[in-house]
Amino acid sequence: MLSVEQISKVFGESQSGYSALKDISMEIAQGEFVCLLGPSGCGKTTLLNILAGFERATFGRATFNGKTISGPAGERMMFFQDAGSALFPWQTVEQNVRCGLKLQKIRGAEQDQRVEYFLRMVGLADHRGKYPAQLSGGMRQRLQIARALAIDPQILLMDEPFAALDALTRRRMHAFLLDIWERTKKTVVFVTHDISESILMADRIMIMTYGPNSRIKEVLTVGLPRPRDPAVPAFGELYGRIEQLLEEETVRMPDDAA
Amino acid sequence: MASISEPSIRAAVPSAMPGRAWLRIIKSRHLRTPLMTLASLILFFATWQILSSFLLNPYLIPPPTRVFATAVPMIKSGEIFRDAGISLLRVMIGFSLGAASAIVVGVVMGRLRIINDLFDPIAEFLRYLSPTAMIPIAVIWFGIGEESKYFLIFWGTFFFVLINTIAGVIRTPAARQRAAQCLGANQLQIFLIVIIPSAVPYIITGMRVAMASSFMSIIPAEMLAAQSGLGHLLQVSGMLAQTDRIFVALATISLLGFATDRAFRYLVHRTLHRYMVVPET
Repeated sequence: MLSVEQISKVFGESQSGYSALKDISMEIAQGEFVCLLGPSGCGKTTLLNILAGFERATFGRATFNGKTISGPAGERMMFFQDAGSALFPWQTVEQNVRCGLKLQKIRGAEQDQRVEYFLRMVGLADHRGKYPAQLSGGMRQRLQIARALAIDPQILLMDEPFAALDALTRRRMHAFLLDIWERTKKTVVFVTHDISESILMADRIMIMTYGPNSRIKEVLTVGLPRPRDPAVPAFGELYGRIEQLLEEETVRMPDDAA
Repeated sequence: MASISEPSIRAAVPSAMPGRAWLRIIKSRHLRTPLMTLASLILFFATWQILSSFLLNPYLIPPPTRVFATAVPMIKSGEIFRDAGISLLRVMIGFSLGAASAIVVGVVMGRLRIINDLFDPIAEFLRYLSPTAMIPIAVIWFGIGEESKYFLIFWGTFFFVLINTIAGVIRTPAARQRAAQCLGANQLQIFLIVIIPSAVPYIITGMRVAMASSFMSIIPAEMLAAQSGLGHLLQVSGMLAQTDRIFVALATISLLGFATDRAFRYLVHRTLHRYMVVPET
């Protein structure tokens, strides 16, 4: 269980600084798929960074299975939108996956097995000798996913991982991620500003307000059965409702941020 | 620190080098390049030959044929190789020392804010002192033996490599370091397996610039304070007004610098090729 208790985040001095997050609380169950949805600049990434342990909350705390999160760890794995810069460009596809396992001190036959298994899972087994620069954007994302899953994290923290991909690749990546999620039952916290993406993927959608002092505006449970079809009326209704909620936020945004 | 060194850093970043894209286009046309090089050389030497034979004073600008005729006995006696070898050795020793220490200092400065803040202002001032400016003091400190030459080349190398190394370390993508942290890397591992490899292209660029600068620095150093080397050959030939020997020395310097750079590039290509990913941003 991932738990956020009354988190606030202030950048700079606590009095004069920029207050990005204000009193955010949430609980995410094991195996749940949660989307953080909100306009750009609403602190979604900041919250994710706190969950990953890259940043500390100014007030409040985040805990994972009862333990306070105080730094990055393999159990909480971050996925970056720019897979190209997150990967090691001087290592081949296979070496990238192997590198994470080495860091986790997983050696020998176990290491080989996992490399095989996860390369196959993401469909990169035939590209194992290539370097990241030789892969397409979608393949690089899949490599990032394979490298992460190989060390068996419990939570996947994904920061708009597919936002830079073209629409077609993105759809395939959605199906791909859902398939992996269903098979592995990892907890997923997925940051996005794409409404359809969130309805397509999430068990629950947490809508955040525009900053400063971002908070959770509303939590919606997506009750639709998977695989979800954007053409069904319920999908559209939910979309409309979320759009309205976000509309209220964009009105608050300054003109130059819109 | 970024505000002070920004222009110099940008100039040194491989992707930001003007003319690089142009070079790549030319290079991609396999057959065209050698042909064009050949044509360029023929054009150059032919024009030179004609100009100095018919239009200009052949004493001031000896034609290539005479330069070549002068070079032959110098090659046969080994004189030119001796001087070139001595200059090259000096460059290699000074360059290696300079580059190695600059990489160590640069990596530490790029990583530790406090060290950077402490040393950056000093480096900012010192790097405007060209090796030539340092010749008089180097001679007083080290005499006219080999040490003063090593020192001057060291001096000329150090700051180029330092600034580029710092830039490379600073520009290591945050996502890469954070991803490594999630995978379980500790600070030392992040340093060794993420930051240093990410900085390699920058370091190499700095080294190539420094290499060119070393060849420029060794000549004045040898002219003013040496009994051997290509600079010394230039100096003596100049005093005796032997223009043909001056031209031989000049041609040797060009060839030596060019050959060294090519050898360096070849070596980098063979050993560090996988690290030479040009940064995308």
